[in-house]
Amino acid sequence: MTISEYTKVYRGKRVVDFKMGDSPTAGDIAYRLAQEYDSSESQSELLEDFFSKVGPESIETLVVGPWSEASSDSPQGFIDGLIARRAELVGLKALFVGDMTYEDCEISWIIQSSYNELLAAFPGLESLRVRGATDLKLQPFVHANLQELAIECGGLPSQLVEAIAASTLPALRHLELWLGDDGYGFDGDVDTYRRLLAAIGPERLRHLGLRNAMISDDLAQWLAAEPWLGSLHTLDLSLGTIGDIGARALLASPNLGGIERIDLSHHYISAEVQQQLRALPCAVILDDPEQEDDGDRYVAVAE
Amino acid sequence: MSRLLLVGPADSRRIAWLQRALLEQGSAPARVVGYESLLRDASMLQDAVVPGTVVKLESPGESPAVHAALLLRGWESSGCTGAAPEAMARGELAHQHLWFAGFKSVLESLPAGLRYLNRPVDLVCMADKLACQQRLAAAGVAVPAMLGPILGYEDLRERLRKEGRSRVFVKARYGSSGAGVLAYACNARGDEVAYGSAELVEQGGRHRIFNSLRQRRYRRREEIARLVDLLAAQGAYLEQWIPKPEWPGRTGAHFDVRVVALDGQPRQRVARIGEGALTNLHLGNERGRLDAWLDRAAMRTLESATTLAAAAFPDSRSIGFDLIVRGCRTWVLEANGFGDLLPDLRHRGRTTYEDQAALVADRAVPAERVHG
Repeated sequence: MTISEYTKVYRGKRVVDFKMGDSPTAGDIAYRLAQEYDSSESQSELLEDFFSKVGPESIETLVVGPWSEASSDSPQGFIDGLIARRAELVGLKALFVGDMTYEDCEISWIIQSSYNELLAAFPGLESLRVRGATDLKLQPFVHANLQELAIECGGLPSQLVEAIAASTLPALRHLELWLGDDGYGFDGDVDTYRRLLAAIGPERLRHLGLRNAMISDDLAQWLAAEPWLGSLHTLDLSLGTIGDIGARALLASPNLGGIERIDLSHHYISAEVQQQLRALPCAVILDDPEQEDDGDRYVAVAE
Repeated sequence: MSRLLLVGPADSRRIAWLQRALLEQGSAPARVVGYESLLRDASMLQDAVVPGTVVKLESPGESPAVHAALLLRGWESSGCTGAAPEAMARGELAHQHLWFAGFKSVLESLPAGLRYLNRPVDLVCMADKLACQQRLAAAGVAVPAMLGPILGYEDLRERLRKEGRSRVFVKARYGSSGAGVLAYACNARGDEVAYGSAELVEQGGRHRIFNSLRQRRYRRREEIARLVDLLAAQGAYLEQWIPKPEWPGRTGAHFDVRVVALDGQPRQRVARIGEGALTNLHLGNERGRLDAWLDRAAMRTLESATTLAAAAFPDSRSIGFDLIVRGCRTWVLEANGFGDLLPDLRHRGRTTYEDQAALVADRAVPAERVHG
């Protein structure tokens, strides 16, 4: 599996493409700045065109879609352009950079950027979502209002996890990391994430996603033993490799508390254990059952 | 006696549909001649027709025996170089250049001066996708940029380096309906990926390609190189990568469009919907109603592109065109002289087969349509 669809809804708003030369769309929507595969305009020119038609002060939610070419260029032009308009972008609350499909660019090929300057320039930002971890740079940062942080990738370097662990994010409620495959940059283990959660204070999280992981069983065994697990609303271990070992640990956990939803989609769990999971008092999502291939399991999104 | 003669496998669905259309309008059934007869002696066609008969050549593709005979004919007509083509397994993609040489040789041996629904030399051109695209481009039709034939994987890499491109379609020159189409991409760090319906199979140290029903992904260089080499050995060329647009009716689905032109006019049209964004894989894919999703401007663009493309083959009366429509831009991906297999799809009340049956019923075949 790969990412074959664009995001339809982001932060509750319908996402609508804005391409060079387009006209504004009416309604409460989120724009996705998108370049065609053969676009000739620069990122800065697309931003220029966009903000000449859509008032920056009206923008609350913004998606940066495919840029041309994401496998060779970073979205730095977009990031710089947003920072340069920080004084006008007074309402910007949510930013997603890299909403593209495998057809635009394989996720592990997407060249990313450094996000510290952007985070510093937008203290009111509540959500940052980034797709792609190649050349993604993040130093420990302080941000008073960031509620949601998500990194989607095919392989997450531990350096990024450690930077988040060392950050001060008092408002954080939603943390979503895609761990990925060690052939594509994942170099962590359960301890990496145990340290992260200990550092950020997990009791305040409403949503924890450790998705697309090649170590889902290990993660589930660790999480099942954490007393704070039941304070989450949602535990999302989807897109990964969870099987009966991890699922049984969750079943046996005394810590599920008031958890309302566990997403295990893209799993390797036997029918019998799936049955038991469905009997849990919370919603358990078990979509996309997978079969081992010669004893091997694969994350949903790697290359 | 019917004024239509069909050349093709007697048990072909295509022939059954056309015979039914003739029957329903009260015409006598068409006479059917097999490609086997033409392979033996093409001049027999002359004796098989009466004045005024329209000859329609159907696709020879549905008969394995005819396919094998065309391969052999192709091998002979290419001077018997190399070993004679071996028997192919079901679904195998091999010797396509020999198949084309055989097809060309048979069609060129057909008697001149008969009324053909589609002119044999046009059918030959349309069976050579590269030649067909060149002809369309020369006629001013928008087609994806052509980057020429390739000799193999190394040639592909070299060409991309020179062109400064990082992704491209590798297309089988003599293939049909998506068989042997690879979508290839590479990045500056040396990673590569190829998507397509071709399945690489190793049997006893020998590599073969099979046309598979699902899209596959290849990431290892040696596999990609082998695939490209095997395709190039039977004729392959490079074409600009134009992504298919998303089908608005369903998330994750993509589509292109088949339009059948009759006497130069766009008639039946349908969206061909597939999960794969990259290939022309349509086996098992769905059809979608176009008028529900394309706005008037896009439909007009589609129609004018089809009219222009059909004008590149003024002597062929029924051609299926595959097009990509993105907003108000349209590209013709290929022309198919056997592109009328769209049973039950109606335009103004008629299927492609009913359109063709009507041509002979209405005595609507103009005299100037005599070609050889």
